[in-house]
Parts: sequence; structure tokens; C-alpha cells
Amino acid sequence: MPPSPPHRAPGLWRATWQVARKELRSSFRDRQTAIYSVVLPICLYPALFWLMIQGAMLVQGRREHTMVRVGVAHAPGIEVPAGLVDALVAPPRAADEAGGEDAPAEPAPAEPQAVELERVEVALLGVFPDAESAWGEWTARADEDRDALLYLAEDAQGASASVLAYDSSQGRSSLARRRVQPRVEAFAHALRVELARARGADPRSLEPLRVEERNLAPDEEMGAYVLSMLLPLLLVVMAVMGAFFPAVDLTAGERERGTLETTMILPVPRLAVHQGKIVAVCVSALVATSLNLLALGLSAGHLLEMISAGAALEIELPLLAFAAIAPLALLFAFSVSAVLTGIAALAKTFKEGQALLGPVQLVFLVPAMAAAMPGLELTPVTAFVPVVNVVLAFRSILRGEVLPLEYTLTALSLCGYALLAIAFAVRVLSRESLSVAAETIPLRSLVRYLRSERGAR
Amino acid sequence: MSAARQRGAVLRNELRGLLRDRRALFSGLVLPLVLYPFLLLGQGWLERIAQETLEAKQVVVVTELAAAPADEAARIEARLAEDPATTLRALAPGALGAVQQAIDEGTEEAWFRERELVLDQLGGDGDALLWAAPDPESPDGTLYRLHYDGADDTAREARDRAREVLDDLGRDLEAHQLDALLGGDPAALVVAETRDLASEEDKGGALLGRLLPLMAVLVLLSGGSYAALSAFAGEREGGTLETLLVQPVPASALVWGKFSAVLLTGLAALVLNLVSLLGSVALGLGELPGGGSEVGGPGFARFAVGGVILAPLCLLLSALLSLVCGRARSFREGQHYLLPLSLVAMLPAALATQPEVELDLLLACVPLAGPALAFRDAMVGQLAFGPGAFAVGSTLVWAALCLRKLGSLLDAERVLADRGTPEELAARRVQSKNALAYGWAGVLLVYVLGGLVQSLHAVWGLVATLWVLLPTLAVLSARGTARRAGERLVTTLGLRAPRPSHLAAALLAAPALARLAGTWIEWQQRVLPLPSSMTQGGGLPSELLELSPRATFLLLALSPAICEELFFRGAVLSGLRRDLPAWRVVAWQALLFGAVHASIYRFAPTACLGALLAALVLRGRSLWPAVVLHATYNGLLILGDRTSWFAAPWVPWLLLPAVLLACVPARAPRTA
Amino acid sequence: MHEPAHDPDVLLLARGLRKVYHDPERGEVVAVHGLDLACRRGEVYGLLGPNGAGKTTSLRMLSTILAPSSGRAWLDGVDVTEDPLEARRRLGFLSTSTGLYPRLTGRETLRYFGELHGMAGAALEARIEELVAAFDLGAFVDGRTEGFSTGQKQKISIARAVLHRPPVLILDEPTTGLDILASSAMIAFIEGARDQGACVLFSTHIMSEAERLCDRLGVLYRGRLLAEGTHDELRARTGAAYLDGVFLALVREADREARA
Repeated sequence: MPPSPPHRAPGLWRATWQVARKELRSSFRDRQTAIYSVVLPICLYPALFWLMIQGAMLVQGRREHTMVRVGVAHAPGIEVPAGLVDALVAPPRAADEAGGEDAPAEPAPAEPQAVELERVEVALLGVFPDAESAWGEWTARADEDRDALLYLAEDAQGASASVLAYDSSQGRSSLARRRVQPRVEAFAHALRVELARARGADPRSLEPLRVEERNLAPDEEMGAYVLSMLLPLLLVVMAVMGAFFPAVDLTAGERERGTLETTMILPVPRLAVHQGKIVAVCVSALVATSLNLLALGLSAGHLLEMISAGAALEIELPLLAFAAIAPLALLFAFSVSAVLTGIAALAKTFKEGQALLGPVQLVFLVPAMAAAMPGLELTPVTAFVPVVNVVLAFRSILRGEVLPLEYTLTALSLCGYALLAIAFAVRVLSRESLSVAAETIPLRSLVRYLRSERGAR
Repeated sequence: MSAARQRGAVLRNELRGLLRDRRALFSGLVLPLVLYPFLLLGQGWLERIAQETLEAKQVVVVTELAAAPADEAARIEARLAEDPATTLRALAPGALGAVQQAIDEGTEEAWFRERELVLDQLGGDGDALLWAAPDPESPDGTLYRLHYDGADDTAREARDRAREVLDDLGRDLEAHQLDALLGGDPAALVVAETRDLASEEDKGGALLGRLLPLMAVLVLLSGGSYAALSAFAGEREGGTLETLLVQPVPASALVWGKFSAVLLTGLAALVLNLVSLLGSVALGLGELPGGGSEVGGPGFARFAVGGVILAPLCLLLSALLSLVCGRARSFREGQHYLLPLSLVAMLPAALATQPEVELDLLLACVPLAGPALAFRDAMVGQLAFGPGAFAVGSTLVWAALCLRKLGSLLDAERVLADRGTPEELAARRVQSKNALAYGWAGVLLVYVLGGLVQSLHAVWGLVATLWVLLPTLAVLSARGTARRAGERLVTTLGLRAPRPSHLAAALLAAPALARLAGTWIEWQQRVLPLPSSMTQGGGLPSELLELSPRATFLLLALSPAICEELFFRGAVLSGLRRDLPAWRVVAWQALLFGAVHASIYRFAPTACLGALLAALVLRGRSLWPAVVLHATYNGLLILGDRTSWFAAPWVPWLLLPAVLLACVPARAPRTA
Repeated sequence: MHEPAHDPDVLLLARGLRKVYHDPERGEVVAVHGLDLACRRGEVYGLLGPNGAGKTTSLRMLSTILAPSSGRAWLDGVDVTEDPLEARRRLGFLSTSTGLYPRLTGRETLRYFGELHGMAGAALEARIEELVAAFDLGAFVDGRTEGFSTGQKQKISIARAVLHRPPVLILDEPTTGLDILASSAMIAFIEGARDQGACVLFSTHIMSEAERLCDRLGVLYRGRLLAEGTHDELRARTGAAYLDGVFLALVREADREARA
């Protein structure tokens, strides 16, 4: 048979794309990969949120139905003010608590056998020289529960030396303190108002400085503000986690399965093979990240509703802002994928790659925490700090700020880091010694490997 | 030869392999030592930078205090100006008249106008606006208004600075006012200083008690995962499993040896993590979450008791880890299991961080939650013997169950299946596996999609969930089952004529069960009290409560009865019963039906109902009695208080004749 | 089925071994249909068959790894299903897919499996030395197995299989994937084992090897033993000159019968 005419070899970019397509096809045909990168996030988040909501309800139910016992003791010569015990036992009504400002008058649901919630039982303990001795003596009575103690006393000048004693190491005691403190304050307020009325003064003048805070941000903006603290961190974590598995699988995994050689003899430039791999890792990472976010967004509905139920904010996933983030997110995912691929390529087997990348993941985590810190802002300087620049840019986009210069700088520096990372990854991948090395390359000789002459193209 | 020596040999072999794996050693043992200082330092450093930038930030507070008493205004302005990073800009008196008008109007449209006006006054540089207005509630009082943009960090900082000044001043003035008006505070006696009487030992114990169980879960699972994967998946991947299985060693000895290696590795990681964490806190690198840096150590006695509780917890976690990783055929696969496992295991352990949750006999039996709570109590010296023993005992039982299951992991038929013939791989219990997959998918979809559409519109969302989602799933699932079994779809779904006796049983059982459910809920309230957010309106959206009785019956009784039965007792049960014994079918049905109601408060009654309905359908092979029972039961729960006979004392006893009637066998002539 | 009267010379005996898998699409799939086999002291029995004929499943049932769906088998008179642990003590098993623990040295590997067999102390060390000498492992036995060549790994595996001096050896395609040096060492080992009175059952699809080694042959196809006997018997039955021809003739005959 005559030798067939040589086909025109595909160009570098075409070849890159072909390799990437093959890698993607084979990795998504792998049932395991498909199940765990698609099905798992979709099932995991709803289940997790459900468990969290049920846990929160369990805790709330138990808290409301827990009765705490509060002791009232006093120093010699002091009398327990009339009405104090009743004020402690009766839960403060909503109107009293909110100071009557703009609390909507909630119609009390007329439920006949409604159980009384947040109950407090009061034990009158009598006279003691100080709070500690009262507490100690009460503790010694083995058959009684004791959670908190209100000890009434005056010092030599007649000023109050009263103490609300509790034990912070015990859940119920802390609960008792939280429950009793507002009731005591409400009682004190009532006493003052009563006296002022008796003297014919306007009770309002007891609060000389009334302050009203008025928030200029509409509810949607407040929602975006809350999200802007959480989402950037989440995006970084998910991008890193998303790239983790494909990075290991396409490099160390391929070496382990012994298909690396087959890939290496393809009649395309080596560079195309390496770039194709990086592109494939990047696409997998993006798919995993977006699926995770989607599942999170879908199932977070209940949770966000719960969060925003009390506060004046309205949380909705800002689709427009997502679109605005997309280019930066893409660049970021690209550089993360390149870094992880480069590092994973040092490993011989899947499990070693996994052990190697574990610490690398954490390196991304710390700077990503910057998203939740109000003092840090995107400036022309921070736009060059890796990872920090991305989270800060995401945050500012989510808040609807417009900083064209900073975004451009961020994009530029991201491009730079991505290129560096790709260069690193390609350099690691193209080490000839690597494709034949039987061992994982020890980190200490990494520099030597990278400096030694390039492998064949 | 004694089994102990064989176990020892297996354990030694595993540990030797692990210790020689330098990377495993590094990531499992060295890394945690470096990790906590790094994380704590990094976070502390970021926080410090953020804090310093914020404090040095130049903010502009715009003021208009003409309406305030002159001395107050002067004091406020002086205090604000003290901070070199705060600049004041005063507006002309009366500049905010339009703002006052907008606020007086109080409509939403006016709010936007107010916002625009304030933003105008702030201009490009202003961060917050503080101005004095006449108090609408008292004729000669002053109301200070503080406008700021809550979604802007600089504005929030400006707000905080202004607020601090106002609060300080307010406290000063209040004491003065009390003296002037009332001649002293009449309530001085009850103004109490809070005092924490917990000893240093108790505080340290409480902190460790909250932290350690959670940390044990995280660290044991991640630290032991490498050992677990290499002991089980690694053996398959390396091709050594077959050899191991022809050695004259019982599988249990192999499993024990491997499990011990996992446990030891996990414990070593836990100890190292603790040392590193507490060490970096002691060195002042950072603070423990939710606590101070000065921790008085709990005494030896508490640690001893804590150890007794923590040990079974570690045992259970390692067994769980081995069980999960042992199922993986390769490292790759095992890697995927770890994240969900740790997330799901963390939640029960996290209950111990909630001070409201107290250990009782019920919680003591919940795996991971029980020992975590018991440990917390032990560390503050408050552990009651009964629940503590219960927590330890139940954990040991759970661990024993896990270990028993672990023994079957090295069952050659299963393990070698993927290597040997492909027939072995897909062979097992396809019908029931498929049915279960559909069952869980249904539970998930009803929760996610159903929740979504019902939040859009309560009534039509429910209709869509019941009449579109569930029947679709039922047909999809049943079609596969029918094809594999070679029967008609209708047969698979159990849509065939019921025995009259079974219909009668369903009609008799429904009122009895509805009454028993009410009794159960009352009892459950004692151990699992409903939170107030659930008791209002019975947890139903208001749109559903406003429906007419007839519509309510259609929507909440008849529709669920038909659609849920079609899916759960029709499609899923039909798949399950093909290759599972009846008791397991009933158990799965109870679990699925309890889960689909998505509430721990309704789990027990709905699971019982699901089990009974499943038993009824298994007995008669027809879906209709279940539909009748379900519809009547729901109907009585919703509308039962409208009928007088429902409350009669004899109603629960109807269950007896119902059971007798249900025992009448399925149609006698075997037409097949 | 009654246990046949124990003939001390028959070290490996199978009666009606059958393995059935349940396949969702095709119903029950029979991997092995009632296999009957007997192998005597000092005899090498070769199980021939194409891929997927049921060789591996048969050998796995005989070596207690898989439980037979029906039928029974005895190793040196011990029932493999009733007392698998006792049966395994009498068995040396090896297949090409067998791996080694990469981070253990050769000596540690041998010691580990010796310990699992209940050997210990000086006796175990002496036995290992004996094997080191016999298989010429001295040069590499103290290195980690991850650095071994295929031939070195093979030698360690063989030493591991005979460590406890088993009377019965079951080898699943022991030479597949080995180079000519390694496979000739394997063949020499099998011959040596026969000379020492062991009973060797091995599967292969390399005819030349079978021709040279085996005292008796069985041809397994689609889970059935088509024919069994010495070379001469098989040649006489099919009329073919070489074993390849015997094999092809038997397979074609079976295909014809199946179609009919």
C-alpha cells in the first residue's frame, strides 16, 4: 500500500481545542465523575439546608419550652421591690420591649390552650451577705435547679451594688441571664415612668436624647450587601474545589492509568496537549462551580427567607451582577485551574496528587476571607494582590459600585497571573523526566526540574 | 493461630505502609501542625489590616443641629471633631425642611423622595447626615436623625462614630435628668451588674466541650480518610485484595486490623491538631472560636470522663469512615464521598455548640449528637449518669452495627465484581435500587421544586406538585419497572380492583389512626416541643386556610391521597417488593414517606402511616384501599373537628376490626 | 451430593461446580455450568479457554474466593465451602493481576503473609531464607517492591504463594504479560512444584505453554468443559495434529451444537 499523503497537521489552537474536547468528553462519560460533579451538589445542598433548618427549629422549640429558675436574694436591710417577682415571671409583652416606637400591634392569636413560652420560675432565697454566698448556698441544695441569681444590695454610699449572677459555662444559666435581663430592665423602666407620672412630669423627658437611625439603602441593596460578604468567598472556595478533582484526574490520574504516553505521541505540538488539558480542567471547574452555585441558590431559598424574615433586607440572587462577574470569574477559574494542574502534574498517582493539593487549597482560602472584612477595598494597589483582588472586585460589583479602573487592573493582573500559572503548568507538564519518572517529584527538587532543559516539543 | 495475632499482623502492615508514605505523613500529620498557626495568623493579620484601614478612614459627617439645645449641639460637635479622621460639615439651618416633610408624609413614595433629598445634601463627600428635628412625640423635645447608607462600609463607619458619641451623651444626660426630675433613680436597686460566676476551669471546660466534638468529627474524618482509602480502596486498586482473600484468615480479622489502622491514624491526627491549635492559642497567635485566649484547663477528672465519652465517638466515626471509604472502588471514588460525609456528620455534632440543647434520653440515642452533648456536659462537670451512659451505650451500639456491616465490605462477590465479569456488576437488585433512586429523587424534588412553586403560589403550587410532579415521576419509575418485569404499567402501579374487605378495613382504620396521630403529637410535644413559629396557623400558609371546606378536602386530602399513593405505594413499592423481603419494603416506605413530609415533627406519624399503607398494599396488591385510607385520614385531620362522632372514645378501637379485615388474604384465585 | 470417598492422591476435586449471576436484562447468566475436575498429586492440569470462558470464575470458586451457586469442591480433602479457612491453608494462589504492597520490601511482604498463615519467629525467617535462596531473591529482596521489575515482582509473588508449602497450587494465567525470561522462570517453577509432588491447576490461553507443561488438559468454553484428557487423548478425539487445532475443532463443534 502506498504511503498515504501526510495530512495537514492542525494548528496549535485547533489542536488545543481538540485535546480539550477529548479530555472533557472522556471525563464526563466517566459515570463517577458525572454523578459526583452533577448529582451530588444538587442533592447535597437541599439535604444540608433541610437538616440545618430542622436543627434550628429543634433548638428554637427547646429554648422556648425550657423553664429557667432564677433566685432572688438580698443584702440585710434591703427589701425586694414590690412587683419584681411578677415582672420576672411574666414574659414582657412585645409593646414593652420595643419601647412602643413602631412595633406593629400584633393581634394576640386567641389560642385557648396555648402553652406559655419562655417561662421563668422565681425562688426567693432570703438574706445573704453577698451574691457568691447566696449562689453557693443555693447550689448546695441538691434537689433544686438553679440557673441565675438576682442579688440586690447597696454600697455604703447608697448606690446600687446589685448583681445578676450566672454561670457562663452552662447553657441554661446563660439562657436565664438573657431572659431575665430585659425583664429587669423593663421593670426598672416601669418604676421610673410610674414615679415620673406621680410627680406630674412627662415620662418622655426621662429619655433626653432620642435618636432615630434612618437607613438610606433600599431592602434590595441591603440584601446585596449581605450577599456581597458571603458570595465572593463561596465563589473562590467552589472554584478551587471544582478544579481540584479534574486537575488531579487529568494529570496524575492519567499517569496512573497509563494513558499519558498515548496522549504524548499524538501528532500535535506538546504545547497543545498541555494547553488542552488546562482548558479541560478549567471547563470542568466552571461546570462544577456553576452547578454548585445553582444548587446552592435553588435550595438556599428557604434559608434566605428565614434569614431575611426578621431583618429589613430582601435577598435575591442578583443575576445581572452575576453576568458582570462572569468575565472576572472566568479569568480567575482559569488561573486557579492552571495552578492546580501544574501542581497536580508533579504527582505520580491520584492519591498523591490529592495529598499534594490539599494544602494548596488552603492557601486560597485565607486571602478569600478578605471579602467579609469591611476595611479592605479594591484600590489600584489591592487590584494586584492575587485572590484578594478577585474577592474585592466581586464584592464591589455585587454592591453595584462602578470602578472601571480598578476592574481593568484586576482583570489585567488576573490575566498576568493566569499566564504565569499556565506557563508554570506547561513547564511542569512538559518535563521529559516527568513523563518517565516513576516517583512523585519531591518538592525540594522541583526547582531543579523546572530549570533543567526543556523536554521535546 | 489466634485471631488477635492475625489482626496485629494486618494492623502492622497497614501502619507500616502509611508511615512509609511521606506525602500521607505530611498531609496527615505535619500539615495540621503548620495549618492552625497559618490560618490563625493569616486571619488575624487580615483583620488587623481591615480594622486599621477602617479607623484611619476619613469620613465626613454632615450636621444640621440648629433645632437642638445649644449646649447639646456644641457637645456633640466637639466630641465628633475630637477624632482627626472625622470631618464635620454643617448645613444651613432649615436646609432639611423638605426632608422633614417627606418623613411626615410616611408613604413609600415619600421615602424615596426623602432618600433623594438626603443624598443631595450629602453631596459627593458626605457619608452620614446627623440633624436635629422637633420630636413629634413630645412638644419641646428633640429627635436626632441619623441618615446613612447601610450598604456602604464607609457610611456604616460614619454612622458608628456618630452613634457612639450620641450614646455616650445620652447616658450622661439620662443620669442628670433622673436626678433633676425624680431626685435619683427609683429603680437603682434593680440596676444590676452582670457577674459570671463560672470558674476558670468551667469556662475552659465549656469551650473545649463545645469545640472538641466538632473538631473530632472534622479531624478524624479528614485525618483518617487517607488510611481508610488505602486500607480498602487501595487494596483493590493495587490488586492485592485477591491474594489477601485466599489467606487462611477470617474476613473479620482483616477488617479489624484495617479498622484499627484507620482509628489510630485518625486519633494521631486529632492529637496533633489539638496540640497545634492549643499551642498556637497559647502562643498568642489567635483566639479560639467563640472564646478567649486564656483558657483555664479543666481538671484531670473531667478529662477522664470526657475521654470515656469521646472514645466511643472516635470509634463510631472511624467505623463510619471505613464503611464509607470501604465502599469506594478506587481512591478517586472515595475522594468524592468525603465532603458529604463530613458535612453531614458535622451537623449533629454542632448541636453541642447550642447552649439551649440539653442532653436527654432521646438525644442521647442520636448518633454523634448524643456523645457530643454528653462530652460537653462532662467537661463542665455537669454530666448526669443516666443520659451519659445512654449516650456512650448507644454510640457503642451504632459503632458495632457499622463494624458488622464493615465485615461484608471484603465480601469477594461484591469486591471482585467490577474486575470479573460485567454481569456481576449490574446484577444485584436492579428493580429495588431503581425504585429507591426514584423514591429519593421524589423526596428531593418535592422538597426543592415543590417548595419553589409553592412559594410562588401556595394553592396552585401545591396543585402542580401533587398533580404534575408526582404522577410524572410515578409513571417514569413504573415504566422502567414494568419493562424489566414484562408486565403492563397498570399492573405495576397496582391499579386493580380491591377486595371489599380491604376497602372496609381502610375506612375503619382511618379515623382510628387520625385519633392516634393526635394523641401522639400531644405526647411528642413533651420531648420535641414545637417552636412558636410553627404553631401559628398550624404551619399552613394563610391562602390554604382561607379555602372553603370542600376545596380544602380536595386539595389537602383527596389530591395527596391519589398522587402520593400513586408514586409511593404504586411505583416505588412495586419496584421494591420485587427483590426485597416485605419487612424491608415496609421499612423503606416508612422512611421515604416520613422524609417527604420534610419535618422532624411530622416524621414519626407520617412514617407510621407510610408503613401501614405499604403493608396494606403489599397485602392486597391493590392501590385503592391505600388511597381511601389516606384520603379519609387526611380529611379527618383537617375537618375532623366539624364532626361530633370523631371525638368519641371508641374511635381508636376501630383499628382492631380493621386489622382483622386486612388480614383477609389477597384475592384467592391465582390467575397468574 | 455425597462426598466421594477420599482418595489421598486426589488433591483437588470439583463436582458439579456451577456459578449463576442474575442479570437484569438477560435474566440468569450461567458463568460456569457444572464443572467436574480432579487433579492428582504430582500432576499439572491445564485449563484452556478463550477470554470469558469462565476460567477465572472456576478458579476463584476452587480457591474459596467466590462461593459456588451449587456443587462442591475439595482441596486435599477439605470442603472449600464448609471450611474455607482450612482449605486456604492447603492452597497457594497466584494470578497475573496480583499486585504487591508498593511500600513494603520483598522480605516484609513474605513475612506479612507468613504471619497471616500463622508462621512466626525463627521458623518463618528460616523459611524466607530458604525461598530467597531457591528463587535467587538475594539481590533485591530488601528493596521496596514499587521499584521492582516485572520479573522481580513475579518472583516475590511466587515465593509468597509457596511460603506455607501448600500441596495445591492454583495459578490463574500465570504467564500472561510476562517477558520470555520471566515466563520461562514461571514454567520452571511449575515443573519444580510438580516434581515435589504438588498438584498444580493453571489456566492459560497460550497453547504452546500448555502443550509443554500439562499432564492433562481441559478445554473450557462458554462455561462448559468441552473435553478433558491428555494431549494424545484430545488429539485422537478431534483428529488434529496440534493443540491449537484441537482447541479450534472443539470450539467449532460446540458452536455448531449451540446453533442447532
